Amino acid sequence: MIETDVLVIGGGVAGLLAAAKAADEGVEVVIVDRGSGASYQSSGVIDVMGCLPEGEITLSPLEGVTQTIECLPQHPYSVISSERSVADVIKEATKCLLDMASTHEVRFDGNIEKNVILLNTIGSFKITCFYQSTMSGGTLNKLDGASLLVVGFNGLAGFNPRFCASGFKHFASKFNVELRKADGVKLSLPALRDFNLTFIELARMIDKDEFREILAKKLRDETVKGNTSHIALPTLGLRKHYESMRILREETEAEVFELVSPPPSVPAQRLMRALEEGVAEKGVRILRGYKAVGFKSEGRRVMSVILDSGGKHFPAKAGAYILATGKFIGGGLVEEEDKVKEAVFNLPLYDERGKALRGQKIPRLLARSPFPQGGHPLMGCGVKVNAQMKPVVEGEVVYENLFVAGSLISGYSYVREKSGMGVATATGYVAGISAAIYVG
Amino acid sequence: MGKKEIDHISRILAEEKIVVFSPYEDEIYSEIEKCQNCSLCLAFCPVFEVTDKFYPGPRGIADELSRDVREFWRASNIVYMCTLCGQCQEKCPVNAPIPEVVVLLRSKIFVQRPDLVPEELKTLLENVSKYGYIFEPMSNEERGESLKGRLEMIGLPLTKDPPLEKGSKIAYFPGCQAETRLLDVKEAGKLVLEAFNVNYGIPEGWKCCGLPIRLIGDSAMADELQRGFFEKIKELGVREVVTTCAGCASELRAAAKHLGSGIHVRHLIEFLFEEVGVDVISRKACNGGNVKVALHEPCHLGRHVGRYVVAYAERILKALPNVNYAGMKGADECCGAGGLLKFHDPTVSAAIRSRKLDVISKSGAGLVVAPCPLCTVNISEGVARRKLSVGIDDFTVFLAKRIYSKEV
Repeated sequence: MIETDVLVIGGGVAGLLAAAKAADEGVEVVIVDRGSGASYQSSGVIDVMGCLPEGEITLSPLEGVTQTIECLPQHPYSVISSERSVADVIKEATKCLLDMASTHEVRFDGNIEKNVILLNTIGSFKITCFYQSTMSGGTLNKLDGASLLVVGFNGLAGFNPRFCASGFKHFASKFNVELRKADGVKLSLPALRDFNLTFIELARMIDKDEFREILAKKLRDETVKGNTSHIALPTLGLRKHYESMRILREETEAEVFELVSPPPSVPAQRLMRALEEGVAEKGVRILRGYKAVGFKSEGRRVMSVILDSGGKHFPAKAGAYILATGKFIGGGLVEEEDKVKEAVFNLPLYDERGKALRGQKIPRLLARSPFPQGGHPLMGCGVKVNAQMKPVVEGEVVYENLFVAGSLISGYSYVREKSGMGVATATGYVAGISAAIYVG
Repeated sequence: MGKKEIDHISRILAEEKIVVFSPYEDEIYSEIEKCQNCSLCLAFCPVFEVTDKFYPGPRGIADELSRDVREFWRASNIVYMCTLCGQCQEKCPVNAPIPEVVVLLRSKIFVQRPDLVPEELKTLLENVSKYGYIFEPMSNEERGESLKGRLEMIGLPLTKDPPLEKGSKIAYFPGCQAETRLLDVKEAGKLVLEAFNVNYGIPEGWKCCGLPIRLIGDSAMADELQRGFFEKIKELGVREVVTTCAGCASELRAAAKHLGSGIHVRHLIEFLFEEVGVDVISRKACNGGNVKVALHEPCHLGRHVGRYVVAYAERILKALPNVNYAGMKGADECCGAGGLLKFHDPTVSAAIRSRKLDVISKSGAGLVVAPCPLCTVNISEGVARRKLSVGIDDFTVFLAKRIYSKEV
C-alpha cells in the first residue's frame, strides 16, 4: 500500500532527522510512527556529550567526543564517520536539527564547544551544550552573584521550589558559582487546580493572556519583596513561550527563565512539534498509528516492511529502510521470554562493550545495585552498525538496504554519558544521507 | 468448588456490589497496569485542553482503576467527559487502552450506582428500548417530507429498501444517525452499493449497533443486541456487514470479534476500496464540478478501526475526477461529538468542535467530507453557527453525488 524511496520507521528525533536529511537529498520519504517515541519523553535540550569515558563531567563536549572515540571503538560516535572528522559530522547534524526547530518557533542557544550546567526542576542540574533559549537565563555560569527566586505553584506535582532552591545553592558552590540568595516560593493562584496540577496544564495557562497578567503581577510583588534578580519558573508555556518570557521579564525587571523539567517535558513537546512541522515542510509524509511488525527479505535485501493498522497488515515497499525505533521506551527493543529482542527485524544484538548478546536473560544484564557506577549493561544493548549505519554481525552487513539510527544502536549509554540527543541527531543525519545515496 | 458454593459466593459479591470481571475486562485491567503515569497523554487529550481544573485527563482516568472495585462509582464525575477519541492510547508509550477503561468504568457504574448515570444518557437508553434506535425517530409523515426535501436538494433519487434475503452477499447497516437524523446518508449508501452492483440487503428490524448503549454503560444490553443481530443475518447465510457510520463500524467490528461470530464488518470505504477498487470508483464517480475537498478523519475509523481506512478514503478522494484533495493539518482531531459527550456536556463538546472548526477554516477547502454521519451533523452545526462558508458532506453522500450528479 505504501511505496516510497526511503521508509523511516520511528518518529523520534533520530527518525525525523534521518527523514529530513534524506528529503534534503531529493528522495521521497515516508515516516511510519506507532504513536509517540521516547523523544516526546525527553527534556527538550540537545546534549552531545556530558562526560568523559571514565565518567567525569566535562565542560567540553568535543573533548568528551574525542576521548570517547579514542577509548570506545564501538561507540556510535566512533563508527559514525570513517573519512570525515566526527566533530564536523556532529556539528552539521545538530545545525540541521536546530535550523529546522528555529524556523518553527523553537530557538536554541549554546554551542558545541561548551557544555553548560542548567538547573532543573528536581533541584539538581543537567549538562548540555544546546538548550532552548527560554532556558538561557538559567545556565549556572550566568548566575554568579544572582539573587534567585524559584517559583512554584500550589498543587504542581513533582516540583518543590524551596527544595530546588537549596539544591541549586549546593550544586552552584560545587561548580564555584556563588548564588547571593536562593529562595523558593509557592504561589497560590485561584485559576489553577490546587492538586495534581501538571506542567502541561500550567504551560497552557501561561499561554493565556489573562493568566499571564495575574502571574506577572504576583511575580512583580515577589521580586520587589526579595530584591530578586533572577526568577526560575517550571515552564514558560507551550506555544507562546517567547511572548511570556518577554512580558514577564518586562514586568518584573528580573531575568525570567525556564528550568529543565523531567519527562514528558513541555520543551520536548515544543521541540517535537517543531521538528514534525519541519519535516512535513520538506515534503516528508508522517503516517501515524502504523506499527512495524515484520518484514520480507530476499537474500540480503529487505523487500518490504509489514505494518499493522487496526489488526490488518500492509506491506510498505521502499528502496531503503531506516530503523529508528529506539530502545525500550520507543519500543525498538522488546522483552521476549526474559530476553531482549529487536522488535522488527530480529537483528542480532550487542552489549555496550561490543560483545554479542548470546541469549543472556535480562536479569543477567542488570547490575545488582539500582544505580550502579557504570550503569546497567542492559542500557547499552542494541544493534551494531558500520559507518553507513548498516547493521552488521561479525563485520558482515545484515541487510544492504537497511540503516539504523538513534538509541537502537549499541555501544553507549545515553543515561550515563548525557549524549542521547547528540547520538540520535548524528546517527539520524548519517543514516539519512546513506539511505538517500543508496537509493539515489 | 461446587455449584452451591459458587452460588453462595456470587450472592455475597452481589450484596457487596462487587461486579465480577469478564475475561475481556480482566485483560483491560492488566493492560492498564502498564500505565506509568507519565502524563504525556495530557498534551494530546482534547477534553483536557478545553476543560479546567476538575477533569484529570486520561492519566487520571487510568488512576481510577486502582480504586477498590466497589468504589469505581467515584469516577462518575469524570468518566462521562471522555470523547473516546483515542488520542491518549495512540500517543501512550505503552499503548494503555484508556478508551476501554472508560467504557469499563461506565459499565460498572451503570450496575453499581445507576443513579449516577447522567440523565441525558438515560433518556437515550430509553429511546433504544422504545424504538430500537438511540434517537427518537420522526413520524412517518415528517420523515417522508424531510427525506424528499433532502434528496431533492442534493439531486438523488429515492429508492426502496431492499430487504436482506437468503443469497444476499452484504448486509447494509445504516445506523441510527442515518435512519433517524441524517436521512440522506442511508439513501446514498444504498445508491452507492447499487452503482457498483453489490448484492446487498438491509436486515429487517435492525436496531442500534450497541455503541451508544455500551457508552451509557449497559454492556449486557449491547452484547444481547449484537448477538441477536449477528445470529439473524447468519440465519440468512450472510457473513458480511457494511456500514456507512464510523461508530457502527468500529463497534460492530469489535463485537464480531469479541463474540466470535465470524462476521466480517467493514465501513463502506473499506469495502469499496478492497472489493471494487479505486479505478472503478473513480470511473463511476466522475460527475460534478470542480471542488477542493478536505477529509475529516473520524476517531472511530482512524484510531478505533485503523488508520488504514482513512488512508483508503484519502486514496479514493484523490482519484476522483475534478476533486482537488487538500491535506488538512489536524484532520484526525476529534470533532467533539464522540463518547456521547455532545449529549452529556454540550458546552465542552462545542469547545472541542470549535478547535476542529479552526482546523477546517485554515485548510482552505471548499468542502469537508466526513465518513461518519455523527461527525457530519456535529461539524455542520458548528459551521452554521460560526457562519463559515465551507460545505460539509458525509463521505457516502458526497460519493453518491459524484456518481449520480447530472452536472458534468
